[in-house]
Amino acid sequence: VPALALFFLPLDQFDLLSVRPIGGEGFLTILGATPSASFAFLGFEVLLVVFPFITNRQRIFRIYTLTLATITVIYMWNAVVIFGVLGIEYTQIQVWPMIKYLHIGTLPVVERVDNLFQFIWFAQVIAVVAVQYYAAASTLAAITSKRAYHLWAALLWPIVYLIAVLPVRQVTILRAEHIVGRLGMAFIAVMVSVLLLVAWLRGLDESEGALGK
Amino acid sequence: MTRKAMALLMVVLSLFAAGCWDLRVIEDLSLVLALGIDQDESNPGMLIVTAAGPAFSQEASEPTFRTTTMGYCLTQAFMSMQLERQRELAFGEMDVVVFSEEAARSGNMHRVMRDLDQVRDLDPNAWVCIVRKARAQHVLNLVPREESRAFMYLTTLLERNSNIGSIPRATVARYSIQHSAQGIDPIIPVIELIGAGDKPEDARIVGLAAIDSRGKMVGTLTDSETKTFLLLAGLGNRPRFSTHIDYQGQSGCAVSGLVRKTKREVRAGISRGRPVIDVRIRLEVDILNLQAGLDNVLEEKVFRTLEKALARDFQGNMLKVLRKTQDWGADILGLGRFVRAQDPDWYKDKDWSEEYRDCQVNVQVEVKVQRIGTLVSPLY
Repeated sequence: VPALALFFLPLDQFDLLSVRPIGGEGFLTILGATPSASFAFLGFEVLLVVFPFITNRQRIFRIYTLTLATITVIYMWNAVVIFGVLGIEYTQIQVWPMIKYLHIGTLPVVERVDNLFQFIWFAQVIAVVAVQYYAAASTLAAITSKRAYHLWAALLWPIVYLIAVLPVRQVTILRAEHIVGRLGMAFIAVMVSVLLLVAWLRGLDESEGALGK
Repeated sequence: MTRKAMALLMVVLSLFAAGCWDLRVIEDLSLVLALGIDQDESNPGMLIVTAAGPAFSQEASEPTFRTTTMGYCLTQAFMSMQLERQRELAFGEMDVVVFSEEAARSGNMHRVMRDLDQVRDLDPNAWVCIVRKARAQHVLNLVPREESRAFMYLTTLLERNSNIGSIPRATVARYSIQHSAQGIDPIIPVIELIGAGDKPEDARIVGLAAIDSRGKMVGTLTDSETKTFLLLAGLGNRPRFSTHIDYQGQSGCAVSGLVRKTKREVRAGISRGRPVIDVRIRLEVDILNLQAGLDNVLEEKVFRTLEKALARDFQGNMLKVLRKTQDWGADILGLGRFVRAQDPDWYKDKDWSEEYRDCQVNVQVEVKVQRIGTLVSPLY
């Protein structure tokens, strides 16, 4: 919530003209940006790992749909306000447009809003990484031996560290993000299809009463 | 065993978590609060860059340090500047950037501002201004009567006048956004040094410079034209005005007032291959002072006659300002953005700065006088 509140600070410089004409480049151009945006939506597949541990399964679909909708709204809000404040052309020449956008905002005590945002955002990133980290260690332990969970947790750490520090070149990081985004979407599409197929073949009952059993 | 391994791992990891390896202690920094940018007369591509900031050392002979270096770009000048400073240069607290008129007219504005925009830690809300009839480095040498440091005085001067609607907000970020965007050109306040004899002590805001799409200062609006421009651009933040109107047969009646509200509507279109723009301005006005023979002020007829006379006056002034910007080929009003939003296909293949010179702009002004001689917070 504090991170989201910081998004409002530069809004006094928002100009609706900067985002017009809306859709001027055509629908296909907008659609073409989907793979780049997909990276931000990845991560909900972790549900496949944590699902057995969830007690109130009836609510999970609603919560997850709500989460995805929230992310979509935040993503869209992010794009609109950044374009509205920085303008399309200026945004295009920025490496990190959101940081530039936040840099324009000021608070009476904290002069650098972008630094404050990064401080809060890093905590969010670590929280997300922790969930994925647990999912990876837990899955590997399930495949090998349940006792090996701590071993896998220790062994995975250097991998996470290497992923964080190794791509030094900016272009490589962005390319990796695109590749992961596209592969992730493909993985989710295939996984969901396979799970649906399995559910259909096994005749699994997904009705309200059956879920709790 | 696993717990011991984890504990050992944590101890090893703590070595990496020493943290703050790039710590910057404020006393070890040369905080640059103002930059002055001049052009070398013998070498037009060369910039003369002056940095000024507070001197932290107790042994310093002056409260402010100033360093001047040269370079073909800002980065080169900063690198050269660092060689003269015993402390690390830091731009995060930058308040104001001053250009000399020669530097602004040389056509290097966009290049220098792009350089500035790329300084990683620079405050994008730093003010930008142009000094007329003086070098930028002289502005930073100024010792104002009411403030010991020139950069503090300049920042307050610009900030205050922006807050009361005398000038628009002109920051590094706004300049960069405006010069990157299509259909709008940047504007920068112009100052002049004032004071008795050869040693100026203060500065005065004298108008607004228009920068064209090539990054060249092409003209200046006077301070009264600036106020008209602000209303025309829809940027007016309760600006004051002072003018002369013809009132019921009495010519040249002095009238001054405050614009309480400004509403601008712009309609753009293409007619016979040419852009046609209609600008409609609605102003709510408080009259501060009216020098005209009146029997009774609080009459509907007086208000209506004043409204019509003021609307005519505002419209005439706005058309003059508009014509000026069209002659310069600098769309500082941002009318091109409306044309682009309305007809992007037409706009795509056109050079807007050329089209703007000849495009038809109609201005319609409506004035509503709310009060005469009664004001809340009458700021000047």
